Amino acid sequence: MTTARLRSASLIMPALIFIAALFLAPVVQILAGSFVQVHSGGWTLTAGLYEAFFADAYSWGLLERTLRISAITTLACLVMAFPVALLMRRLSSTQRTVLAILLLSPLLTSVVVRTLAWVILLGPVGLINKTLGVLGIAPVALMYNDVGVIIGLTHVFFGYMLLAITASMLKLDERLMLAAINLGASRWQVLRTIIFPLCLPGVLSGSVLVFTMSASAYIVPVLLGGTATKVMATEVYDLAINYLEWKEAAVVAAVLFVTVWLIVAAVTRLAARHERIGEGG
Amino acid sequence: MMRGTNASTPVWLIAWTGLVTLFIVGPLVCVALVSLTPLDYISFPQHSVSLRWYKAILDKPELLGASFNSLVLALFATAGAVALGLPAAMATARQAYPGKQLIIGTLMSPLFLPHILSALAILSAYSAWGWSHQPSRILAAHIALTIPYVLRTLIASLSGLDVRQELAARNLGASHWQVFWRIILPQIRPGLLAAAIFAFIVSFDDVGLSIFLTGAGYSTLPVQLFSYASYNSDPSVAAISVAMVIISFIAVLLVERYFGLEKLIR
Amino acid sequence: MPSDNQSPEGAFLALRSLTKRFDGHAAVNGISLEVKPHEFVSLLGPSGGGKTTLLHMIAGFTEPDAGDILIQGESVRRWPSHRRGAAMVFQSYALFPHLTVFENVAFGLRMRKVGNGEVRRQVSEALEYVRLQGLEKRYPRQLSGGQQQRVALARALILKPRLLLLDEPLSNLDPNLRRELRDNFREIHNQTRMTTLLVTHDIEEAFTTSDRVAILGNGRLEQFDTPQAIYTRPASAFVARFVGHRNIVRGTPAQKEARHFLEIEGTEALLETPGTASSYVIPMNQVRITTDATTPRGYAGMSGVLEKIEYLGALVRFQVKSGGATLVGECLDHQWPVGLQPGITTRACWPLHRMIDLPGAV
Repeated sequence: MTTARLRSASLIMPALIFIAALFLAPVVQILAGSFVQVHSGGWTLTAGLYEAFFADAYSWGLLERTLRISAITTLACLVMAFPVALLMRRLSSTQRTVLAILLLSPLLTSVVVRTLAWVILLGPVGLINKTLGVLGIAPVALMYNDVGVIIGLTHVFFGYMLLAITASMLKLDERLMLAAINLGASRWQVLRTIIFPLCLPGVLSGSVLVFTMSASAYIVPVLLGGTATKVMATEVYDLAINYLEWKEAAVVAAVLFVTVWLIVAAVTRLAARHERIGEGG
Repeated sequence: MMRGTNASTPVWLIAWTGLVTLFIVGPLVCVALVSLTPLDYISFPQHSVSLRWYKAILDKPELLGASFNSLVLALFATAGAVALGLPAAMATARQAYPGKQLIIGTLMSPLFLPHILSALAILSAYSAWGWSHQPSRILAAHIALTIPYVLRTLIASLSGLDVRQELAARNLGASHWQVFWRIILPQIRPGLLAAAIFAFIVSFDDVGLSIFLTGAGYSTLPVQLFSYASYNSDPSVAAISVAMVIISFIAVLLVERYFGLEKLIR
Repeated sequence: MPSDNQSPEGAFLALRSLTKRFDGHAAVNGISLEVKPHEFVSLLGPSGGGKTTLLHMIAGFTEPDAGDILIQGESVRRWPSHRRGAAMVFQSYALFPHLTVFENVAFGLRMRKVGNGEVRRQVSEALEYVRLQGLEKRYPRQLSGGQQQRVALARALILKPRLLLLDEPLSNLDPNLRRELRDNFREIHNQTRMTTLLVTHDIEEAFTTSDRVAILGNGRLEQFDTPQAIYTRPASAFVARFVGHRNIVRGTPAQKEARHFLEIEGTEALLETPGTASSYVIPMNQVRITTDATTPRGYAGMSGVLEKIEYLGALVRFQVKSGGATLVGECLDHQWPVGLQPGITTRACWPLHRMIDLPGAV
């Protein structure tokens, strides 16, 4: 028993120490550091940087835009993915594999590549505007605004939503639906009363994933949003790399992180209260 | 598997899925087409196709250097993540111990912390510790980043094994080491391969962490592509993209072949 | 091999106050029992009774918190699993799916670094013994359930163990196959005379295969005896219920006009001598049903409504309800009184000397 414990400890320790020392410790250090002010006489504990952040209307604008873009992206992914997951249930396993490869393989190509694909399409001299020009229509601003960022984020994170929903969809017991039909439920009623509630854990975990990743995405807003559409993540990068203000950058990153997880916690709690069905995913 | 509560699948479902597929795959197809254009600007090839933009990649030494860096980095990160992740997965998948949830949470934290926060933290902390050697610190960050993926894949693979096989082997005189080599390893080989491929892709494609940790002397392919695309918009961007997609797609096919795609992210 | 530890009857395997706790709950609680050489013993009990934990301690997979395990008089408590000479056949067999039948059976020999020629000789001998020649190159998934079981047996027996441990090897199988494989175990035992422990929750399985049966409930040893003794003389209400007795009644002695009675569920049975207050089992096959108003001498009787009749093929099972008590009886089909229908008032009686006195009161 004790030897078994020792063995599992010795197996886990290297990875644990590695992550704790080289990954978590820096995070803790920078978060703690954002509350410390160093001056000639030593240092003091202060929330001054956070107060300064929240006193600035510009910061609130950033936060609001970040959350709005993330929320819309999440909704778009959900609306796109749910019907696809419904179809997945009905496909043979070969068909399902083909569709999965088509829809999920972009997940395993670099974010930069996928974003650049949209730059090529949406840009001022991109394919769409060129086509419009040929047709004699004035160019449309599809990039360097929120729309471009949302399109890009939706494309980048769609796969995660699809995976999460499909996983819970495929776990559904076919007999539940047969029972509902046997009891006189229409197709829509089956969807509304059986499939959707039972897939809620998948919908929820997919939404949490997409929302959190969208909120901290950096590449997409830079390439598709440009300087016009700044979000929290791009602000962090600017502060850290261009202005070398690591502490201010840490404050922005910390606010982003905490806000996002507060929202996630609230939504999860709310969903748990509404859904008493214990089908944990 | 049973399927089809109703014989007919609604047309709108198929149509919707078609549109979604177009949205997801279409842009990548456009990029592929653009990469073949003979013209100097972004356009579909109309009368002829050309590989001039692929040849143009070869004329950019910084891209070639970055490609080499990325490959080496991804290989080392994969090796490191598997070396650390496999033992951890073995202990986690098969035994209960106090504080297990906390330990798993710690090991998985690179997945849950936003990259923008962890990248900034790593940059500032490593610099504060006086660790300025770029390749090694980016490698450390990538190993941490890929461990969760390795861990997930291997735990899924290991939990499919019957613990009684292990007991049976021990009952027949196998040591713990022999149990691992002769009973466990042969059975998780597909999972191990998938974990390694996955770690490789995550490291190879990463921009979020790398962009903070690379610099003048050392860069990776995605970071180079990103900064090149920030200032240029010629079809060579498309050509580089296609090259990266092909590498990833080969990896995806391997994963699907050996492991099944949907098990990866769950 | 005489030893101080060895009990006078020559116990082959002795458990001494074995205890194992998981999270403060005692899965095995102070169990002591002794198995004789060549004996086939079943550990029988409901799931969660501690049977598998007990077997895993004997096999060396789980270390006991207290107590000792002796095999041939020698304490093996601290020995690793493979040194104990206790070979295990697992539930669903735990065959190595990536190894062929040959390599599965050879595994133990490989671990001992036995030479290739010797491995080939011994494996083919073992496979011949379990009648699996010609299947060496197959993989476990290509075998039927019965063949898999025989591979598992060959794998366990090849190291010539002193003790064979069978952990619910027949659960999750369909009844016909179960019966066939059960006979297999008994046959192997008859040939090898190897001391065998079988864990099961199936009474029929335990009773038909075993010389003696240990009944475990809530981590305790409830009774350890021959199947017949357990059925006819259950040591507790738990055992009685577990082996299928359904009439467990409370008897209170009474005295009226110098005559002794036993009061059972509101009826009185005349006794020759003073009775004792106790719980009693009335075996179902001892209950007679009659329309006569009187109870024969030496019998106890109870009037009630015939509630239910079930035909079980050769047997008829009936239920008589009187006040709060329900009595279940069984009789052979041809002995069933013609014309009795549910709803009529009848009399159920049973011979007093067939009542089983339960030592542990309910």
